[in-house]
Amino acid sequence: MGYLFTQLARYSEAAIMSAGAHLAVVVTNIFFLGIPVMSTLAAYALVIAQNQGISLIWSISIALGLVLEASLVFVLAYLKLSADSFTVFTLASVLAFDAVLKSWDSVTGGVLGIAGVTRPEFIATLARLAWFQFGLSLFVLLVEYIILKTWFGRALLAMKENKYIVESFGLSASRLGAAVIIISSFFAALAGIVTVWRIQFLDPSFGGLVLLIQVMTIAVVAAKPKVRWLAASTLIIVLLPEILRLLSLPPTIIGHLRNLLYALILLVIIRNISSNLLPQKRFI
Amino acid sequence: MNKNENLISLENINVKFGKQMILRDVSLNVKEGEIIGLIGPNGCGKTTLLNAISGFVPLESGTISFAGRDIMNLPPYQRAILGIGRSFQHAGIFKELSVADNIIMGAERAEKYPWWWMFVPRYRQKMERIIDNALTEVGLLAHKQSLAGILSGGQIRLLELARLKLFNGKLLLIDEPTAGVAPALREQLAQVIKNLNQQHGFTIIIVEHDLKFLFNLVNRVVVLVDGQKHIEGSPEEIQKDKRLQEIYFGTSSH
Repeated sequence: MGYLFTQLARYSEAAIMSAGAHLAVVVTNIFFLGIPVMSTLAAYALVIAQNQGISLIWSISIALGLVLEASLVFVLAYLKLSADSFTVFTLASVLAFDAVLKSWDSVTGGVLGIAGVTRPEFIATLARLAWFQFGLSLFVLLVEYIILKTWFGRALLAMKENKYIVESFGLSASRLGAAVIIISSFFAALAGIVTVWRIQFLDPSFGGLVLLIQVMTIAVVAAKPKVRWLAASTLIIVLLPEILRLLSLPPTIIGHLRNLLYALILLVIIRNISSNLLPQKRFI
Repeated sequence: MNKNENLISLENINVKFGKQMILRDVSLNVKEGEIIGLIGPNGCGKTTLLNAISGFVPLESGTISFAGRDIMNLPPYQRAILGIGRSFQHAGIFKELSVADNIIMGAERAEKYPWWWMFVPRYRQKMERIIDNALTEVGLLAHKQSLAGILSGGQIRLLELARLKLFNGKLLLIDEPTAGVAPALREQLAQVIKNLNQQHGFTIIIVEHDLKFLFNLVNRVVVLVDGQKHIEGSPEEIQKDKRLQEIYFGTSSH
């Protein structure tokens, strides 16, 4: 049962985090690659606050508050930079944040990380944690579903096609884009918090490029701006590498093979649907 | 607002792209309820003038006021909120949304429904009626659930105009409505534009190359040449202008 609960938890964590990437990349066409930064920032903030003896509620509030502030930096970059430069900026932020985590030993524990992260009482067992995470993932997917059904979702889909037309409806494309970045960051933060409760250990390998590849693969494979496609894509991408376990290879090799598998999936998908996914040049 | 008052006033507006002046000292007053035609050779600045009014291009100098209010510092979306609607030269619809969703985009802004209207049957039924009426008026009801991208050029224009009808504003800027539209559909387009003016009360500025289409539609015509206002008058007066005949027909009749 432990294996099944672990997979359920992994699925839920990936679904929560990918909902943000899906909203930004597939729905709105904003290549916001800073999602692992937000996830890791929230996890570190939570653990450091808890280790300082701060209560659970306050630790969560501090983590989400910090993520909100950090997301405003990305919003500023979104407003000031071109789409391509924004993508590069967010990608660079993943590497920069990784360097900060590794070098700021006194706070983050450096490369050794922080061990012994305690779970809240109500999710002390793996089974409870997995069900809690699953419930949270359903909630996040429901939020995205509601977003997509309302004017906000329609405006985001429309922005993907032509932001000038969206503005001619009386909607601010800048504000819509900023809202997407903040919502994506918030989802990533939630995923980071519940993930660190599961693994109960935190080091710089928690987020980074490996996580980014997984999240982007899920978002890109989902392809359509529909929540059921995201749910299905998450299931495929999280469970597919489990097949590699049948090869009886060392765990480190399996880790690399998983990334290779994700890379191949990304290549195939982008090769075939790039015209729908990548920004199109529009004229007014 | 009084019918004799200017709905929109442009005073000596200049627009520059790089080192090139696109519009030079263009002034224009449009009264409420008028349909104004903007014509001129390719590259003379017609679309740029619409973009300047709707805020998509910055002015080098000059002033624009709408309903007595200076709108110079307002971004495009705030001008739209004030009541300046827009259709685009390259079809201002969302091709990856359904035909119905394109209408909804316009209607939900105009109707000021709560954000959760989609989940309330009463609002949904009301919206369905709005969509059906809008699409019936332009003969697109059969395509209601289709992706807008599959429509023909003329149908796309009709969809755009059906959505503009729901726009909660006073002024519509319509850019080349007949571009890519088969002659058979042009009469229907003209009727829809007349309805926008006469039944729905919109003041309209329309850019168009098809002079026959335009002259049957507008009260007044403004001719732009090389970014400057060359002449302004009724369609009858404009048709007698020699320079215009040279531009459009290559010769002038004496």
